[in-house]
Amino acid sequence: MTMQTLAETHTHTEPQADELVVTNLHVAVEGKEILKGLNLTIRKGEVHAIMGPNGSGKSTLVNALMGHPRYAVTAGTAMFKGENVLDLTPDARAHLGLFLAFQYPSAIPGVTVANFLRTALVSLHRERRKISDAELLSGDAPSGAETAAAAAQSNRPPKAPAIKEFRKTLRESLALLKMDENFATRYVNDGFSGGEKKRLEILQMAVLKPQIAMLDEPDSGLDIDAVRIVAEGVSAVRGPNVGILIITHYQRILNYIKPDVVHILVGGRIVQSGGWELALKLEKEGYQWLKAEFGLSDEEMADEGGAAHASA
Amino acid sequence: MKVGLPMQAPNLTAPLTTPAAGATNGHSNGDSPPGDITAAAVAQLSAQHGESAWLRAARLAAFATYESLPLPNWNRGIGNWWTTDISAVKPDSLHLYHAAGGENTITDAFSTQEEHAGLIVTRNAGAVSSHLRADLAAKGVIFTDLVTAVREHGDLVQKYLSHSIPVGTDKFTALNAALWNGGVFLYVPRGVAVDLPLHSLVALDGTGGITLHHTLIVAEAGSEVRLVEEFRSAGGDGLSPVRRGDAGAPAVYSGVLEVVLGTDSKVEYFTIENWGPEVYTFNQRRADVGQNARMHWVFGVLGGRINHSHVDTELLGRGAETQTRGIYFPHGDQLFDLTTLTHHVGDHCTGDILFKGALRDASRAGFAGMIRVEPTGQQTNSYLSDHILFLSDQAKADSVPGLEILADDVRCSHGATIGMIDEDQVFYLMSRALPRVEAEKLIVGGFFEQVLQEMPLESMRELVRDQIQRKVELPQLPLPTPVF
Repeated sequence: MTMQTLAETHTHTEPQADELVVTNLHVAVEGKEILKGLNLTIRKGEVHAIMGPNGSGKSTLVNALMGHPRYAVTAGTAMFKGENVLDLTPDARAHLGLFLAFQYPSAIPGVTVANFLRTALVSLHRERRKISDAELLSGDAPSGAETAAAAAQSNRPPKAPAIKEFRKTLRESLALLKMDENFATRYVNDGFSGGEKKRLEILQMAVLKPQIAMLDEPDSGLDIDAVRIVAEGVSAVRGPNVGILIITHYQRILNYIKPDVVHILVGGRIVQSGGWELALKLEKEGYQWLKAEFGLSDEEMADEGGAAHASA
Repeated sequence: MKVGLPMQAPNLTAPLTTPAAGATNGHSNGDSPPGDITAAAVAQLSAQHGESAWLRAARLAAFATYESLPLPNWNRGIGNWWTTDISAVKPDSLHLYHAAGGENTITDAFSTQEEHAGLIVTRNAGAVSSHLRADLAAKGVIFTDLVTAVREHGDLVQKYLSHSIPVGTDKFTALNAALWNGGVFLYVPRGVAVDLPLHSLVALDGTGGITLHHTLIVAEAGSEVRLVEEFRSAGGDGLSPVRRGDAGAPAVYSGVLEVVLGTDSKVEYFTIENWGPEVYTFNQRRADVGQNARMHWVFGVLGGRINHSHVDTELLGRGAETQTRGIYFPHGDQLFDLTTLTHHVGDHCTGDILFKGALRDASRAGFAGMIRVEPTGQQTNSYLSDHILFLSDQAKADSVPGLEILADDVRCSHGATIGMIDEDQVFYLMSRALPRVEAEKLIVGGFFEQVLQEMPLESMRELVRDQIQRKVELPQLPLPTPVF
């Protein structure tokens, strides 16, 4: 292990660099307030699950944190590595280490998966090199010999890969998600089945190695086998250097990825947080018990499928 | 070979021959300075080339037609919603370019760098260089400038010149027939297949002039040939800033292209229109496609201030086929106005037209495509589509596909899509660390990829891909308030 890696490992003990702290987040979509003062802290190494009825603001939370222009932040902060990520463009948030696995990822016709991933890696690398001059000067310059497995263990930013190295990483990630190699030559999400789209999202997470990964319903629309494959992909990425936030309606995927913390989001706020038992309770009893317990209005409990869901 | 077009103005070192300097050209004749657009100039040009009576008579007749025609009105739609304003072009005040003379000094063009079987370089007017591989010449292939062709193969030229495109098509076509002084003649004898592409490079320098270029391709039965025509000018290239208000005097290019395809022949014609911002281009192109012959067109329209191009494919013989692929990408306030006609006269013919355009800034693009099927055109299969992507809400486009079907047993379809760049796509890519411009480059590149994939020359694909990427990267110019 190199000096640099040790030094970075050391920084993990400093809370500022290690956690995403969301404070009093208010977000509106098309003038309608969806999030109404949400607080949440995610540390690296932890897996959080957010559950809640449709329209409660789950997708809004992760889209706002990633910087979708349609989600207007009206108040609050989201601090990560000393910066309020809400002030940054989406690409700058990605450079900081944020990642969103989309519930409905866009198709990019004419752009192959391989080209897309390589362009993304080069972009990540180009930016991060600027802040790693010290790394270069210390003689710990990126070496092409570093294996993908070692890179996965390391917390260092991905290096702009040589073609050969990139292909190797891509092959391993494809195998992890049980995807055929010719998948890389297809156009991004163009004509993909629902399951293929979900797997491509997890594949990107595996290749890009984010520090805070948000997964927006990675299990929706999948059969039980596909859920398992996606969950295995997530589990492979899970580790001390990444904080994971999974949004789901169902406890099913959480059977494979046991979360450290489960949050219930209703009416734009997290109303309860707890352990695994909370997911089990929701699976068994649904959401209606929350209404009485937290004095929620019918409107807050209603399936606000309209605005929020359409723009999810 | 990897080729990129230069950002800087082409390396045109030979001095420009201006009208004032025309007298030094040695063919001044009394009251009419050479270069004027007059009947006297027509007679003088014909005499200078030592042309036969038929051609001299044809030129003079065409000039009379030119004088009788008004400037074309290329506006259309309700209340002339679409306007191709060419009022900046005043033919009477333009002079004719003279041949630049000298040797070819251009070495950095696609045409001069890519492997080819023959190359003709035309500077302003007239060829400065002409080459055809010896084994092809030995097989009877003719590839030479049109002036030389008239002199050496007069009968052949007479048989085809201005036969496909009527002189009276519009004012510029008539002027072209009267005063063309540059052009290419390509003749491929029966059964001869030309293995590598032939290249024609047309370069303009200076402004205030009009060049009249006539290209004639004759492919005899069973022959095969590819011609790449590349266009550029001293004022810049397809990436140069183009802004209303910056306009100096225009340089005008009038191109007439006639292609005649014999039975079972195959012709592929590609353009790389990479003009600088001073150039106004008016093209009339037509192919007459014989039985079981195949005409493939590929257009890459990237440069020029205004480009008005018409392409007409006449499927005359049974089983004739055409495929057209076009890419256009205006920026600044460039205006590209493209029209196509697929005319099904013969039966069992196939037409397949696909254009894609992206628009930046306050640019404009018009696409009018028509499939016309005559009563004789039974068992026709014909498709036409045009897809437009806006990168700016100030850009404007007009896409009008049309069908006129007079036969009762045909399969035809047409369609057009127009849309802004998808902000969800942009967000998706930006969330993967791509800066916005990189996201747009991927999206626009992907948008064009379908058409690029179908371009037969890898080198041309690479060139156009590169130009597209660089066009997306161009900084935005502050533009005056749009007047439309």
